[in-house]
Amino acid sequence: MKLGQRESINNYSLLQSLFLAAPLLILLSVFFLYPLIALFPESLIADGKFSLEHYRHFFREPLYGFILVRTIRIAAYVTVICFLIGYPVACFLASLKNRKVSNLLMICVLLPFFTSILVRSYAWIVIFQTKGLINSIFLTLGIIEKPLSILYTEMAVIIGMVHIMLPFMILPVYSVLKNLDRNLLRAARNLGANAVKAFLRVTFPLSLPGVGAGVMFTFILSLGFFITPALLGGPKTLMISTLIEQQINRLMNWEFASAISVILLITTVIVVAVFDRIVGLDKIYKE
Amino acid sequence: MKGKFFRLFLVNALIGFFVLSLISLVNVPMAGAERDHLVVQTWGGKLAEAQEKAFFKPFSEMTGIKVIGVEAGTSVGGKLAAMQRSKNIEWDIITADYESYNTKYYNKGFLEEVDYNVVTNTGDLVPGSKKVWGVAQYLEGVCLVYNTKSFPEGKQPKSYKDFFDVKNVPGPRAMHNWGGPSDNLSIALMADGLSPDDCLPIDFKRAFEIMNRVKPHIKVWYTSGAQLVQALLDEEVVMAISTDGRAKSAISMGAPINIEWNQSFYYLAYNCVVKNSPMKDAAMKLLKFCNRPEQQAIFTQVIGYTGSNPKAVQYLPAELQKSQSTHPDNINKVFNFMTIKNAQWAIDNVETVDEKWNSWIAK
Repeated sequence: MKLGQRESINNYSLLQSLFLAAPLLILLSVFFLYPLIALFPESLIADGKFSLEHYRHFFREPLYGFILVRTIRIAAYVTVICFLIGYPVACFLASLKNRKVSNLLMICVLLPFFTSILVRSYAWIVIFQTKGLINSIFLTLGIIEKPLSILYTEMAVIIGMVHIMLPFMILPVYSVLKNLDRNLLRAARNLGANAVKAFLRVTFPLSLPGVGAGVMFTFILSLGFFITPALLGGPKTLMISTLIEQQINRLMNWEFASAISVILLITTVIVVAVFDRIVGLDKIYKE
Repeated sequence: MKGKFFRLFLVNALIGFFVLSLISLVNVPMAGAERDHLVVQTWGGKLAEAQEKAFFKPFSEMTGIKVIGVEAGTSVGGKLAAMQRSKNIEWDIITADYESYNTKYYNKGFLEEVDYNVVTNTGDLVPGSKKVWGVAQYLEGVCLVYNTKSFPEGKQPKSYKDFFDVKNVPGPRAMHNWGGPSDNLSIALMADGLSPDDCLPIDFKRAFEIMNRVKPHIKVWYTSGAQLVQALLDEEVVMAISTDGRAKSAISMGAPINIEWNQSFYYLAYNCVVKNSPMKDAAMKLLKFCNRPEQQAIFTQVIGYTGSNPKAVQYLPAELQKSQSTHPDNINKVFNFMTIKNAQWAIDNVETVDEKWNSWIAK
């Protein structure tokens, strides 16, 4: 593996590689990195002069810390659930021998990408509401006597988010499992490991890079979710992006909005660093 | 190898930071856009349709100046700030925003002062219409609505007091959770016996104590009007603090609800001219045109909102006249929330009230 990688890098000189990556680098720099970096000085201004007031305010008012912790908690739930649902699906997809069937199922996984998050969130409203699909089915079957309140709860938000994030978990895990050397598994079985042991000792550890990538995608994207919690959730699911939006659009306090964004960014970086310590993210691009 | 990814990431981030700091030193100013037509920010949907039919199109026909309505979503403040910063003024007029926001926009230098030498026809408008930064276009009322099936004749809630009395008037309720919760807290205080003029500045302790009574019974904290209409149609709630516009549209869609005008109040939505607009003079002329009662009557017939000019009522079909808050029978029951005593407090303390509200509701 290592040898193969070195060869492919040596095919291009540094200049050539830079040239090939230039469009992406320029795009990211202008439309992503520059605005991101411009946040920092903005967040350090209060009443027209340099001040740490916005950061102080963030930590003084219990509201913001509370919402930040909640945001992390919801993102963690979504990530864990995505892993629990997505991993078996990826395993199943990777194990399919019939190309036609696996292609068809792959399209099913990708299908949600073809509809906007907004439309999907509204679809969940139709399903969850008091006179919605779930409640009418359960009421007709006599499973429940009073309609359940699902809409505007944390559960609704988590279900909606899991639905959107699942492909981000399935795809990287699938791509790693698909390229797994099947002989390793055969060898393990040959040497006396049962299916469970072979999975735990061979398949799972080797799929970790995919899991790492999936977990990172899911968790980081979930931290910044905005539309889904706003539509499916209530006041008890207020997440940090909603607070940022309020500061920008309603209160026009761009400086404080920048400070919250910076804190969210730092939190994300810390999470990535911790994750890197534990799992070792270099596996993701090495594999 | 653990931790290597992060180190690599840091090195890259530092290089990126350095390069981009250099780029950011070169500031390219945008050329001010020249235009020969007016661009008006709208809220889309039926409201934009009503404005188009009542104001934009007839104005174009009269003056030859084309008027284009563009939908802004919810990000008016953010867009205004961005326009002034980049010196690229995309809109000439913003519409349908409330006093607290407009004052803020004005203080931040986003709005022109209205030229009352041009806009000379404001004499008939409801009190509080004439502001330095804008002219009122329509009223948006806040009122108590209730389900007529749950509350038959004789048992109907009569005031905000009943909304907060969960013991004697049971059932799930709805209240708004969008910006500016001063009105929610004032409603709680009115339910506790205060007169509107005594509500501000808000006594938070007292207001939240009353809100706590009703909190477990608020089933829908709506963040959009559509959400409220849906809850009323599905009969998910039996009572709501609603806007009169949404209540009327829920009724027209078949929701079994009644409006209680008692203690109801309204906000004024204004037309304002954006600072440094290249079409400032034409914009002022459109502001004047929008005050005409016959045009406002067309507006009301499309969207249901009551125009700022009470004279518009007489241009309406008879069946619509009675449900306008500016109708002679109603105008003395309702009041302008922004003309009550210390109303300026609500404007100056938006951030504090928001923060306290968010802290209360998040738990």
